[in-house]
Amino acid sequence: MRKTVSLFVMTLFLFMASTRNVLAVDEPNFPLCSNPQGALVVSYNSGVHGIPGDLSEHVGSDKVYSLTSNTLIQCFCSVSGDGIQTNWWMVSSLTDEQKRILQSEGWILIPNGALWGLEEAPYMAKNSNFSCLSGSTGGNESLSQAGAPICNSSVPEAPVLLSVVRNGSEATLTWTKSALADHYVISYGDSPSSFQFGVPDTGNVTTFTIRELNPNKQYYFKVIAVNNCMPSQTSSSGVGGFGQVLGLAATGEEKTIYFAFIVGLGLLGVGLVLHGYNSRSSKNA
Amino acid sequence: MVITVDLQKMLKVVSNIFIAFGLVLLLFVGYKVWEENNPARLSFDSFYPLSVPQEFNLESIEIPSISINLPIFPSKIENGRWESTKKGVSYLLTSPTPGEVGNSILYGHDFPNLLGNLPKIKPGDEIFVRYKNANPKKFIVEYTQVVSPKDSSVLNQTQDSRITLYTCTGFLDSKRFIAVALFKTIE
Repeated sequence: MRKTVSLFVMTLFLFMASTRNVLAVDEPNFPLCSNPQGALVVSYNSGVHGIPGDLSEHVGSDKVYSLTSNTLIQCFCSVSGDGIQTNWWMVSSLTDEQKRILQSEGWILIPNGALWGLEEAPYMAKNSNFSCLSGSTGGNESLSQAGAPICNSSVPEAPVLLSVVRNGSEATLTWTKSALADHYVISYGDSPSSFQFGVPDTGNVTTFTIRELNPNKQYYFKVIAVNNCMPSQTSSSGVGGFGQVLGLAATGEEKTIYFAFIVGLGLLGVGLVLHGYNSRSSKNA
Repeated sequence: MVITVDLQKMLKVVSNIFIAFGLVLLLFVGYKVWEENNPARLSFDSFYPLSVPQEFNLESIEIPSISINLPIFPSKIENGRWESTKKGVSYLLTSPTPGEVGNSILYGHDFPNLLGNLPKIKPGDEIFVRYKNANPKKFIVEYTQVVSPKDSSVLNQTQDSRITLYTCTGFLDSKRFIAVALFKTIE
């Protein structure tokens, strides 16, 4: 029986180990091209474009969004509707060993980003595929219009809205400091889909009181950090009826569960029968 | 029947292997059942704010190109747990009503009679959302993508009018298939 337990533990360990990624480097989060975040810094509606790790020429539209000071996403949509998302990550601070680990995780090392129109620093790039309506890349045009003046300032980190304290016609907001920000913008409104009011420049502070609100209305707030001309993403949590979403919900796959249940029960049953038969045989012998 | 000592040893090893694998599979089943009923378990550290619940006036969703025509049911997230239905598609009440500005979130099981066909949808396909007290609205699929459950940025609010429809896909439901469709006025 001790052997059975050992085998069980070993199998469990192997099963769990096989489903875990061993990663010694924390990868940054990248949004998807189907709902890109950050600031649009490059936009081509057509042309021939390069994709890291792929020597062939790609014809279609191409957009690049700056996420943080060291991350970008490139959204390429071919004329045939095949999209390629490339996550770009400046890795000047990583060791060779860390870069090697990332390469084993599917990242491509770009020794000099300048050759790709980026900063003169080493980058890691990783491609993934998506499908797109031919000629479109990046779903949220209104975030930043193609052809708009390019802002080269680094993207500050999004602040986290810590609290909103309502007191009659006033609301005092408190948020976390964003390292690169030189001022903050507050948007608010009485509808969750319409932030029609705003404070364009709070100064470089982390708390601000908004006055002259209707005390009988519920308001919704978000805060954006700004570094010179470059806005961050909106604050990552809100107050006043806001909830939180934690990843995409599981939608279930009952076939797999039933199959595993039947096979598991079968294996256990056959194992126990064999075990019992063997025990009886041993006693008889 | 008399069996040899060698055969006894072999039977013992085989029975132990069967029992161990059987137990592991049953544990795995328990985990999947628990996970399915606690979808927040799939969460990582990403989160974003949503709005207060919208008034529910949706009726059904139709995707002619992949023969999907399903009723829509309201859903909420309570304590990190997403409500879901086995009768149709869930609409997250805390996202904008489809057709309004923002990102309307709809999702459903990948059962064959629900959204099992969704991964066959293509950019350019039409999605119709029908309402209880209004004319139907048409959405055109702009993107499809297989993503990780932790890629919740796809649910972020937008300044256009879109729906994000998704279901589970991949080995052991480890991925999500998303279809993003933008609102188009029906001529």
